[in-house]
Order: sequence, then C-alpha cells, then structure tokens
Amino acid sequence: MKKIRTKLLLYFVLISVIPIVVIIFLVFQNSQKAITEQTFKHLYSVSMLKDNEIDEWVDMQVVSLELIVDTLDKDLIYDLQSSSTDLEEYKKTYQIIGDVLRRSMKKNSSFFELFLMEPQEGQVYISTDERQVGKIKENQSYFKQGKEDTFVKNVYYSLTLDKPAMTISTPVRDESGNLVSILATRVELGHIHEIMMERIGLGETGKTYLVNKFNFLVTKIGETVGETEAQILRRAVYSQAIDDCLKKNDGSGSYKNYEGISVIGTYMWMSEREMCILAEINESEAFEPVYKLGELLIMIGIGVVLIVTLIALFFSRTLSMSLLELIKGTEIISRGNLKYKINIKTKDEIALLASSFNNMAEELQKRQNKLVRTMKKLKELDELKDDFLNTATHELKTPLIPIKSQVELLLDGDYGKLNKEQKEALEMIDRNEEHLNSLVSDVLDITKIKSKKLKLVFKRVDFIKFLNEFKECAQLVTKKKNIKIKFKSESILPSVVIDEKRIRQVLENLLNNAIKFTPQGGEIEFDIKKDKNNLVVSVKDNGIGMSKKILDKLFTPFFQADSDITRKYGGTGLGLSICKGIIEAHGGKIWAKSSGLEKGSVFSFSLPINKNNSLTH
Amino acid sequence: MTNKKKRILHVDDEADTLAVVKTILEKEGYEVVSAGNGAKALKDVKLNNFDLLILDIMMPDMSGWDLFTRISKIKSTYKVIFLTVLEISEARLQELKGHGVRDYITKPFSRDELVKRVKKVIESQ
Repeated sequence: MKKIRTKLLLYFVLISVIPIVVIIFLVFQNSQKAITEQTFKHLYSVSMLKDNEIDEWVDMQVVSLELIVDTLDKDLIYDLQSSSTDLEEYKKTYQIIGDVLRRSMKKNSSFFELFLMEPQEGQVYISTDERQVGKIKENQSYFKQGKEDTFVKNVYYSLTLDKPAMTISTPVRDESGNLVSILATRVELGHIHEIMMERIGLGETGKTYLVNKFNFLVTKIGETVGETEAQILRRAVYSQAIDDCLKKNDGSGSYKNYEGISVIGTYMWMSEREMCILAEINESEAFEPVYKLGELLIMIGIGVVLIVTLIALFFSRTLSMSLLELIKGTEIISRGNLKYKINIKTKDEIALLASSFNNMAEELQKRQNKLVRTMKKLKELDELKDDFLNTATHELKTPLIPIKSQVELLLDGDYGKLNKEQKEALEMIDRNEEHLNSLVSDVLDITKIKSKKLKLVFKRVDFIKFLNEFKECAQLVTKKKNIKIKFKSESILPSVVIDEKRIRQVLENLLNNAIKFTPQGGEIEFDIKKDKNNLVVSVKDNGIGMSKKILDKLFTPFFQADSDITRKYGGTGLGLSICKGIIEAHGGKIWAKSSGLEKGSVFSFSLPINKNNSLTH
Repeated sequence: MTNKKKRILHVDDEADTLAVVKTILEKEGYEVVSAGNGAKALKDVKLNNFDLLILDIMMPDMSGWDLFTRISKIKSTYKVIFLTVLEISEARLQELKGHGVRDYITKPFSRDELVKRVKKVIESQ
C-alpha cells in the first residue's frame, strides 16, 4: 500500500518543482540572449571607437608627413639629385637635408625612418637610416603610388624593425608643380598597440586585436607568457570569426577564438587599413551575471520547494493522522466497543466522517442493546421451553409406570392365576401402553427436533463394531417374524463421530419399518458403503413398496401412506421425521427410493466421515 | 445369599410408582423403604443404613440431584441408581459414576429390567 501521506507529498513537490524548473530555464535562456545581444552591442561600439581612433591616428601621421614636405627646400633637393656625390657641395647639401629629416623625425615619435626617393628609379638617396641609402624601391607600392599622391601602405611586417609597421609616402613638388622627389616614412605601430590595449569597457577577459589579411596579429595581445612579442606577432591565427572577417564581412557570434576559448565576439573589416578588428570577451565572464541570476533562481527554487515540502508534510501529516485516528477508531468499534468516540480535531470532511462514524456506532449500540434485550427474552423463552419439555416428559410418562408395572405383575401371576380372557385383556392393555409410551417418546422427540432442542452426545465410534451390536438385536427380531436379514458392508469402514443411541434409534426405526411392510419369508438387506466423504447406510426390503407421490411426503411428521396402513401396521407416523431430524443434526441426509408398489423400497442415510465434535445439537 | 434382607431406599414423589417398585422388589426378597420426598429420605438415611438408594430426579421441593449431593455428605459410599424419565447423557453418567452412582433406569421400565439392574448393582462390590 502506498501511503496517502507519501503520495500527497510527492504530488506537492512535483507540482512545485516543475514550474520552478521551467521558470528557471526560461529566465536563464532569455537573460542569456539579452546579455549576448547587449555584449554584441558593446563590443561593436568599442570596435568602432578603436577603428576611428586608428583612422584618426593614421590621418595624423599623414598630415605630419605632408607638413615635412613643406619644410623641405626643393632647390636643394634638385641639387642633391643632380650633383655628384663626391663634391663638397653635395656633402653640404646632404648634411642640410639630413638635418631637416632628423629634426622632423624627432618631432614625431612614431616615425622611425624618413627617406627621400628619386622619382625615376625610386632609389633612396637620403635617409635617416644610413643603411637604406642606395636601395632601389621602384617596385614598392609606396613609390609608385607616392609619385601621384599621398599613399599609406598598410601594415606589413618590418624585418628591419622586427615588428609590424606602416609606410606612408607623399610626392615632393616644386612651385610649378613638377615632381621633385618622393618623401616616405616608416611608422611604428606603438600607438595603435596602445589603442588596442586600451581596456575600457572590456571587463577582465575582454580584448580587442587586429588581424591582417595574412592572418597575422598586428598588435600584441595583453600579457604574454613564455613568448616574445615578436614570436606572437609572427604567428598566423585562425578562428571562425577571423575567416569570415577576412572575406570582408562584419559580424558577431559565440565561437571559439584562436586560442580555443569560448568567447562572444564581434568583428569588423577595416577596408582602408585592410585589417580585421576583433573584440571578444570570454563567455564565462559575459554570462557571469546570467550564471549568478541562475544560481539565485535555483536557490529561490530550492527554498520554495523546501517550503512547499514543509507545508505538504504538515498537511499530509494532519490528513494521515486524521485518517489513522479514523482507522484506529473504526477498528476499535468493529471489535465491538461501540462506546468508543473517534476524536478528530480538524474541521474538515474527515472530521465529518468521524462524527458520522460516531453516530453510526451510537445507533449500532442502541440496536445492540435492543438485540441483547431481545436475546435475553428469547433465552428465557428457550429455558421455559426446556422446562416445559422436561415437565411434559415427566408428566406424560409418570402415569405409565404403575400401569405397565401392575399389568406385568398381573400377567406374571403375582396376584393369582388368570383365565384366558383376563390374560388377553391385560395383554391388550400392555400393548396399548407400549404404543402410548412410544407415541409419547416420539412426540417429545419431534418436539425437540422442531424446537432444535435435540441434544446429541457425540462420540467417535468404530462403525463396524457398532453395527455388529445392532446386528444381534436385529437378527433376534427378524427371526421371530420369519424374515431373512442380510448385512453387506465393506470390511474396512472409517470411524465416525455420532450419537450412538440416536443412530441406533434411526437404524431400529428403519428396521421396524422394513419388518412392518415385509411379508413373512421376505428379505431385508442392510448395505453399508463409503461414498466419498460419507458413510451411506441403506436398508432394502422386498415389501409393499410405494408410489412416487408418497415418497415425497414420507418424512413429513404424522404422515402415513394411507389410513388403512395405520390400522394394519400401527405406528405413529413420526418415526421417519424423527430419523430425518437426527440424521440432519449429524450433518447427514436421509432419503427413500422405490420402484413402485409391490416392488420393495430402499431407505438410505449418510453420515459425514470427516466431522469433528463441534456439532452441538 | 445371606439371610439378612438387603435394604433399599426408594425416593419418588409419585405414590403409584413407589407402590409398584415396592411390590416388585419385595417379591424379589428385598426390604424396600419408600420416601415421598427428599426431606423424608434424608431422615431415613440418617436413621438407617441402606444397601441401595433408588432416586427419582424430577421432584418438587428437592430434586434428585440435590438429594444425592446432600446424602453424599452424610455417607459417600452409597450405591445409587437413578430411576428417571429424563435422559442422562453418557458423559454425565460417567461423571456421576465417579460419585457413587452405579446406573440409571429410564421410566417407564419393564419389571425384568428393574429387577436385573437392581440385582446387579446390589451384588457388585
């Protein structure tokens, strides 16, 4: 049995847990989505800001370079380009221009080389870096483009500097607009690096970085462990975001960055710089508020479930306590203590049920009292009946005693010799006294049977032995009447629990009936068999037999087949109903069969074998 | 056979029964004292010695059972036969036998039966 208490508790907890789990899940999902969107926006704006800053800075470098052009003496440049390097003049001019360049470079900390190229072959004829002088740059984009207009060569990896750099070139023209030379500068990206390292609004794990079109990092990223800056910058990096960005797309998403860390990031293609700017923040950090919210929700959820469980526990306890009290009460009541009151303190249907139980018990008590009174009365009546039967037996039989005894004394000649008539008269009196006696006995027996007052004394009896005793008496009686008697029985019969005296009475009755209706020279047969759990005794005669109509009424009190028979054969008409009463009191059955008039009849009765001594009447 | 007549006390409330039993048993050579009620019987028992008591059960004033109990208190070794119309169960008889009751005869009895049983009980030890 599953206890109501457990069931109730389970339902309550389930009912509270399911919505809480759903709510937590939905809130978690929504806030994750909101946070992601917010983070995207944030990262975008950071990227835009940095993009702008970089552009501004590059523009500044361009302006700075163009300003240098104005400070250059174009005639001196002509001279330098046309005169031979051996001349004193040349060296002087070279010195002057060189000073100008060096001074200019000092003004701009990002410039690390300023140089001039002659416009035909792009040969460097003067540079702040002496090692570069004489090199021909005619294939370089900054030479070709720089002849026309200011040109910014985007980030490349400078072998000289061993770090990424940019080159900006601009044409140098004389007053009439003829191209004199091309001024170029190599720019260090230190400031871009600073811009990128600016961590405002990026939290703890947020970072922005640049990747050029060859998948190389342009700026170093945060602190590096075990790697030199150069090593980092010479490494190609790949991620889903980088791949997409280098296809000149902008975008955002959750993905694994080049270090394999799950991040939320945005990427933008900087078309002028031909680079990607990426802004990323670790998912774990971005979602920290969500996780915190989740934790809080789970805590609240657990709290709610606990409270619900406590409430459910309380309710189910109250309920089951009431029910248990009710069960206890009904058990006590059903055990017969009808005065017991079920006490339930709650004010609900169970209390109502309890009170109706109490009412029921009260009603039952009333009825029981009534029944007890009735039973007492019945018992008194019963005792009265017993008394009556005893008195009736006594009163009816007592007068017979002196009659019988005196007739016997007379017949025995104790009071003098009798003549034939006197003797016959006395014999008639004796016969009728016998008849009256048996009639009284029979009437009393049938009264006892009808009022269930037949008292039987049960004993376990060896049926064969019992039968042999009866056989002797039976043979004596039948011999007198010249009737053959036969006993047929199995050699081994089980013992039975019977009232010997009463069963003998039945046997005698059946034998007397058989004798009565069997002509002289006839035959009576006793047949005893074991049939399943019964012992069956049959008494068969070849007497006058009977019709089926009579068979049905045989066991009714005072029934006799017809009045002629009574006259002819005597008897009270009670014998068979007494037999029936006795056999039924033994738990057996009695029945009669006949094939018809003049064809004899069979009377049988059965006695159960496996019966203990429990029968009382 | 001893010369001395055996003495029997018969208690019954029916005068006719007392008379017939007396006639039958005296013809057999017993001395029969008849008592019509329990009180008289108790008196007789106190005054005389008897070889056998024949008691009826259903009597007014004092029943055979009561009488038997009270006589047993005076002398517990009496041989007793109940002569009654009531049936006594086998179990009850066995119990009574332990208290000195030897037999019971159901009324109405035949002369032969009475004589036979009385003789048997008196001659038994």
